Amino acid sequence: MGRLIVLFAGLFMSLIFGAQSVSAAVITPEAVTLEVLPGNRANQTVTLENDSDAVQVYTLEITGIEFGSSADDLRFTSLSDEERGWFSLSAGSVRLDPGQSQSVEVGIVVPSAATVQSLPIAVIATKAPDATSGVAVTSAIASLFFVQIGQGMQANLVIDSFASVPENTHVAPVRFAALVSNLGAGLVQPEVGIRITNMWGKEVEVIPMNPTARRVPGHTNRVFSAVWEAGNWRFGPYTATVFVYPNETGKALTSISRVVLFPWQMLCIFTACGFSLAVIALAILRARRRTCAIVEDNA
Amino acid sequence: MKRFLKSLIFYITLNLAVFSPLLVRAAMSSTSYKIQWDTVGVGGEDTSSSASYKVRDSLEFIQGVGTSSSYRVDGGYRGGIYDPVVHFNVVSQDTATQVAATSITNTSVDVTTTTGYVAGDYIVVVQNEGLNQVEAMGRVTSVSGSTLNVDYFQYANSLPAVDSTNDYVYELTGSSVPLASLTPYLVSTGVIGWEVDADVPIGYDVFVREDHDLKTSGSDVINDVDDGEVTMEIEEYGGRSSDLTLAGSTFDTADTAFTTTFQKVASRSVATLKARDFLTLKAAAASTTVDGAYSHTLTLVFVGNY
Repeated sequence: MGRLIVLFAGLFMSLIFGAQSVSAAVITPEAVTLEVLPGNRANQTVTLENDSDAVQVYTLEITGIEFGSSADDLRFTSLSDEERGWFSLSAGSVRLDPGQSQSVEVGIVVPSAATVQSLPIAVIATKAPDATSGVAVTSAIASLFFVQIGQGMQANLVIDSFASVPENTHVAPVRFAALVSNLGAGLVQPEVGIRITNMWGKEVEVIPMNPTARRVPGHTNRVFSAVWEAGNWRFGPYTATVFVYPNETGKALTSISRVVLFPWQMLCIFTACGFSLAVIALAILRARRRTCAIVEDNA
Repeated sequence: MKRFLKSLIFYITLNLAVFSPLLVRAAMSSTSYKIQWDTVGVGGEDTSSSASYKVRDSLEFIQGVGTSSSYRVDGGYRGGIYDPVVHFNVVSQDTATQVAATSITNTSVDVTTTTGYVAGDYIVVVQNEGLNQVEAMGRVTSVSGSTLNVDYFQYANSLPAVDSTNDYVYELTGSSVPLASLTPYLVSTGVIGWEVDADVPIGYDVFVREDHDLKTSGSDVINDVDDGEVTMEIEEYGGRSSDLTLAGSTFDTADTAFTTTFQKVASRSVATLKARDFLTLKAAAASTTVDGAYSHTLTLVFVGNY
């Protein structure tokens, strides 16, 4: 056939726009939690900034998000027509000069008949594509809204696992990871940390694992991780205790992982010490033999 | 006995030298606080910065947080301000910049000509361009003779093995991938790369979606790949990510169709600067594929801390 399908328009456009990269805007907040009672209204301002050096037009949209069974598994989904009707944007698109920022109001009106639920959504700002043919590429940035509708949703955290990564590591730095599940429906931003103690139970270090107050939405699980630098000279058994405070007054959940550090520096030192002790022992034995020989000779 | 005492002194001295550092404690945190700075001094700079960091210094004896539309200050002794920085830069393969690659190392690639390439350019090295091509993405730090030096190469499984045969370097600078020609005996490819500077401690995700299938204005469509692999002479179109650790997505293990719903194509779980990944687009035509100019738009969305 000798068929040749030429996407010449795409090539043409790529030549025209070849000097441009696609830089997204800056959106704030990156994530926010909103509590709305059925029958009430809430507003949240989203600020969009053009951090590129050209005039940009951004379109704004609201979409649903959900969480898969894997840890940190955020996915986008569609809102139902009814849910979509609860949300409004003060502007559907925004034109920004370089460095300019503009606020957009996100309104949420929850009907009084709405059930108590957690409804996470994303406000997405998408830059208008430069190319119109071929595979045009553009970028977008999202602000996540964790909308809690109603009251009474409780979080129920459990620590599924806690260990060093990789397990049984003997060399610093040591990365610890804790998988925390929320079996309840309520969203929670737990305080998570690790307390490191040495073989005598003395606290060596406390490391925060959730300094930015990451959220654990209902019926999801997340991985919290932190690195214990430890240093080159720590050796021996250490106990790492992860603690998870669901809230300010909640009782801490804990789990323990043990590591035995034996860095190569210490291996060198122990080898040197062992060699020294061997030399000393040999010297003592020789001295004793000589003493015995002298005593025998004298006898 | 004298020799024994000498050995004993040597042993004790050695142990003191080795174990004394353990007595120094530098950790300054607990369950309720963390001291970011542990050096006490007088004076200091108002701001300190380089290409890779920015530090704001203290306002002493002014307690609390003050904000306005243009600033935020955390006051107090050694209080500071924290500026989360997220920069998401998406670039696509510019076919007009093709040059042949002759050899590659972990931080450089030799090409037949470096004309048009300058420090700061994003590049992609493509080994055996086509169906089974292998790619690596880097950023040029300097140009020396026929060598493009890069900061590092990001790749999926392995660094491309360049032997001058069908191996090329392209600049990643465009805002579209032309997929210049589709024939039944070739698989057209293109690369979309991105770099994230995310000063967010827990990382980020990147998702992709299409506005519609790859199609002509007359609604002739290139079929989505549905068997995990774009195959020559079978009309299929899809992409694969360089990030091989994706949860809830098949872009890491198979050629995957783009959909109008966002699908994950990259993920990082820790704070990262200059993290790169790329998507390889693959399109194959069958003998029955209708001639035409096929197009659609891919949108990559960055999702940060939540």
